Amino acid sequence: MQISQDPIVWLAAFVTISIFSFVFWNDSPFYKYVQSAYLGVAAGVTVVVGWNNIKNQVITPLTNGNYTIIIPVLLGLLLLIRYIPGLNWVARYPVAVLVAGGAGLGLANTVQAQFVSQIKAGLKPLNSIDNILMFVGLLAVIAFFFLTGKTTRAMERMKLGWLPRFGRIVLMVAFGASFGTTVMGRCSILIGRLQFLLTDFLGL
Amino acid sequence: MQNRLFNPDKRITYLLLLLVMIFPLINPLGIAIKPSENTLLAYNYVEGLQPGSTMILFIDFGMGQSAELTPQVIASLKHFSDKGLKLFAATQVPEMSTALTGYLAETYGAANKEYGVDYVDLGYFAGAESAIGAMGDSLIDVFKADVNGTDLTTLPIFKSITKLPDINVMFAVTASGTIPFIRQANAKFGMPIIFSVNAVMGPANVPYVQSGQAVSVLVGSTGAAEYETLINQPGTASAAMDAQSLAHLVIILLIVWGNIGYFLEQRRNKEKNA
Repeated sequence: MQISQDPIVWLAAFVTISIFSFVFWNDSPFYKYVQSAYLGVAAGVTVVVGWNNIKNQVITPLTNGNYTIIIPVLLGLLLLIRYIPGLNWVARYPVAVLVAGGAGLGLANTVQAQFVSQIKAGLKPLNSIDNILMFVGLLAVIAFFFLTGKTTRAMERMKLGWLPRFGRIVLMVAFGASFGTTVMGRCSILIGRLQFLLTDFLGL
Repeated sequence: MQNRLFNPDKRITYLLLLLVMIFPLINPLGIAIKPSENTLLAYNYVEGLQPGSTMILFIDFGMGQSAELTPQVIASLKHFSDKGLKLFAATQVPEMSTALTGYLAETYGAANKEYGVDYVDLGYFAGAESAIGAMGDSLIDVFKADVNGTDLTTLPIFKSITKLPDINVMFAVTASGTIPFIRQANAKFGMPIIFSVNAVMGPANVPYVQSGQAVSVLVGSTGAAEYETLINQPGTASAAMDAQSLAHLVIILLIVWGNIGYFLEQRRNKEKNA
């Protein structure tokens, strides 16, 4: 075992163990101190990154003669006017530009990317158990979301009342898989920290 | 007594999990890692690329997800470097700019690849999906300079690459979402994309592989360990798999134990009310 001599590693180990102390010793002074320090550092980093963005995206292009950048800069400044009482309606204009731009950028390819391609992929030939299960599961989940009484009564009359119930089971399996991978992800993050403590800090 | 047996102090559960994870990290058990179908898809695709093919890497995760995704980045970059792929690397997360430089140094740099010819570090870019969309028209207009401030037009790697569709394949390592890349790269230009996502996002993104919109989705540190096995260079992800497996086993046993307690409690209440 060769404990690290690097003060940064010691600091990281102290922060890690202090955060973990919450598990065994609720709201320990170490946890509270490290939490406050982390929030302060995060705020500081945000300020620096923000200033760097302004320098790179605004000041540098302006000094290089690219004056078209003034328009988005003005729109951004108009957003701050919402804090002036009586004038906060002005901020609606840049918000409208942001929302419209985002919607246009996203919607343009959303139909192809998230609807057409996925629907095409769902229509597989029913020549294997996997494909049949997938197709029936897809229909069942869609049927589950027909929540109007008229539709569910119609399905019962057509002897398809089992379909939305099966859809609920399929959804539960999907959420279970999602939960399982969430647990896996959290374990990975913990193991990452333990690897740091055992190898980088303690040198085991 | 039964209550304390089936509802123990949560600190006991945490301590048990910690011990179960620490033990295999110190004494590896050597549980075999079998690559899954998705990992094989990604590996085989990269194996099929010719040396000199171009790859753009996007780092879209923060330090909080780095334990899960960094091993994947390192394993993939080692593979890309061995295959002789020309790499364009960028990040959408400001704090990862320094980390990206480190990843490149550990892989392409360590393999004596020439900066500006074999790989370029484009650093942080702002704008998220709109920036990716703008790359479809011009990479140089979006980035302008590399992370060192060097004009991109002076770098040999940009001789025949002006916009995103000129690049052969994208490798997006993301913890925030795959949709922007699919919308702006695959749906627009038909660009092949290999995703590496954290475990939480795995099940929701595997359908993109089935629909052909993604080449593959590598999931979490398990995907990284499988990739390390395939390239025959075990790293931190492989070392973590024993601990991961034991932790999952303990969690399953605890869930079963909790359910036994629940049903016993139900039976006791029924008998009390009878």
